[in-house]
Amino acid sequence: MATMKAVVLREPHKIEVMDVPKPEITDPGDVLMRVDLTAICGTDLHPFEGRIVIEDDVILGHEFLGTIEAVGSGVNLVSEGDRAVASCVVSCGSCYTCRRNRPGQCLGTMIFGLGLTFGSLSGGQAEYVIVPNADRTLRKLPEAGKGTDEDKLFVGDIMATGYEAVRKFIQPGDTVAVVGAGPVGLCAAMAANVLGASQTIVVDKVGVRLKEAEAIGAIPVNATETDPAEAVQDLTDWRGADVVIDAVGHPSALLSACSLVRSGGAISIPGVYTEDSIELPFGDLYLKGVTIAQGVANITNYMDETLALIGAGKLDPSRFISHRMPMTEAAEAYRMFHEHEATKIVLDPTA
Amino acid sequence: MAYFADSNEVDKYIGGVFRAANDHAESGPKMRAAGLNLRVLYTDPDTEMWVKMHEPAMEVHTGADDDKADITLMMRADTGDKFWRGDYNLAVGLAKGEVKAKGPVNKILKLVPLTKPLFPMYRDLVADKDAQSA
Ligand SMILES: NC(=O)c1ccc[n+]([C@@H]2O[C@H](COP(=O)([O-])OP(=O)(O)OC[C@H]3O[C@@H](n4cnc5c(N)ncnc54)[C@H](O)[C@@H]3O)[C@@H](O)[C@H]2O)c1
Ligand SMILES: [Zn+2]
Ligand SMILES: [Zn+2]
Repeated sequence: MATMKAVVLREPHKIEVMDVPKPEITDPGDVLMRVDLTAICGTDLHPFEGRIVIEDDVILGHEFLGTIEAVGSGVNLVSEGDRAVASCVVSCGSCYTCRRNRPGQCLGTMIFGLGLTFGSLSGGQAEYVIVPNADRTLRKLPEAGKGTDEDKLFVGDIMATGYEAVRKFIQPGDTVAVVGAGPVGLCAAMAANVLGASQTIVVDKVGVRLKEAEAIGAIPVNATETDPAEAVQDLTDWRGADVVIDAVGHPSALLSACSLVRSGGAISIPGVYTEDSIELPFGDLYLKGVTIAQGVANITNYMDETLALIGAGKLDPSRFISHRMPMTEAAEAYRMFHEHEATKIVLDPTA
Repeated sequence: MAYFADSNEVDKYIGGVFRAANDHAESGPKMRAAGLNLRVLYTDPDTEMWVKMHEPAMEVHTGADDDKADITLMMRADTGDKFWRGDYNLAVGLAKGEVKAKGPVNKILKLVPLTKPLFPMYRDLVADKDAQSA
């Protein structure tokens, strides 16, 4: 049997690069992709840390692009030899919620590398991966225009996620406040600049990450030194931010987001929550008439826009990559990302 | 033809795997810790199954119950059989509407991975039935 190398989560906190069977096409909508580039996402940390329970021995990874090696009989939009990037979320395209343009909430939502609960899709931190519903899930990489593979890699997840979070609510001239300067928050801040924010404020506690935010023209706020609510009030004539993004996924961040938003403003929550319940200042949110949006991102709705903006040189999320490592060093890469020693790590499965 | 002849068989095999889960070193304690009442409405044959995931032991029975279900699932018993063999993609089933679910999604998502280590136990349970029909 043909084998390949893959990043396997044996159990929480235990990553191993192992030889596993090379996957095969089983459905007419499948594509077999040879992975050229893959990345570690904050969402991978949820199973890594055991905050999202998945079964043992799952191949991780849902940010990847590569070259198509074989296509199922029902695939029309890509062919062998094409290069493409995959959405991290696979939707069916036909269910009640998909028909209402919410692929992130597909009744059969599948996510690469998150185990049985999300459709048992093996992840993209591997030499090869099967991409189901390929016509919906993949976008061919444009050859013309600006942007590198490392930029386009992120339209399958963090770039589209950060972009959607802002795009849902922003109006030109708005103040956008982003809680969390991880890769998703930084992508949201970059999107806010492109989508017409007059000022973008980024809150975190990690200095190097705030430096990244500052480098793209955002106003950094270090929550260990400054009260973010005070800082945002000062910058908005005591109104609060028009749009607040929670790009963390921890109740402390959500509470912080609630304190930053203006009356009639919106909180957009790409950060992942699985808690049974969270205590929120509900009377304050009610009286301010705050709109809240959240959930798994509708990636496929925004891949074309973000690819076009990368091609135009207006989005360049590769600048947030702090480390490039061979996939064989995945265990060390996960440790570094988990301990915030790295902002964003891409892995080369061919090295 | 439906795999299970009657609801007694659904109780024996699918109920059986939940009963056996009690003794599974990994999934048993996690299922009991969930503290949930799971109700599954199977069709072909019609069977209402209750799985009460509580300490000190999970209780499983078929038939009506006055208790309140935290999670209710509906599917054909054949779908249940395929799922427990590890041959059924739940995500696809939910998208197609072959499986329907009521109750908090985050709780359902936390239960699903606990079932995978039990698949071999289910296959052991149905081995005798498969042998008879082969
Ligand atoms: N909705 C989606 O589809 C989707 C897609 C991708 C990622 N995500 C989620 O987005 C979140 C962020 O992802 P990431 O890759 O950027 O992760 P990350 O863990 O690298 O970044 C989180 C950042 O938040 C900061 N932080 C933590 N608590 C804070 C607080 N109270 N105030 C301010 N900053 C705080 C941390 O220092 C860190 O820099 C994760 O929950 C991830 O699962 C969701
Ligand atoms: Zn991700
Ligand atoms: Zn769908």
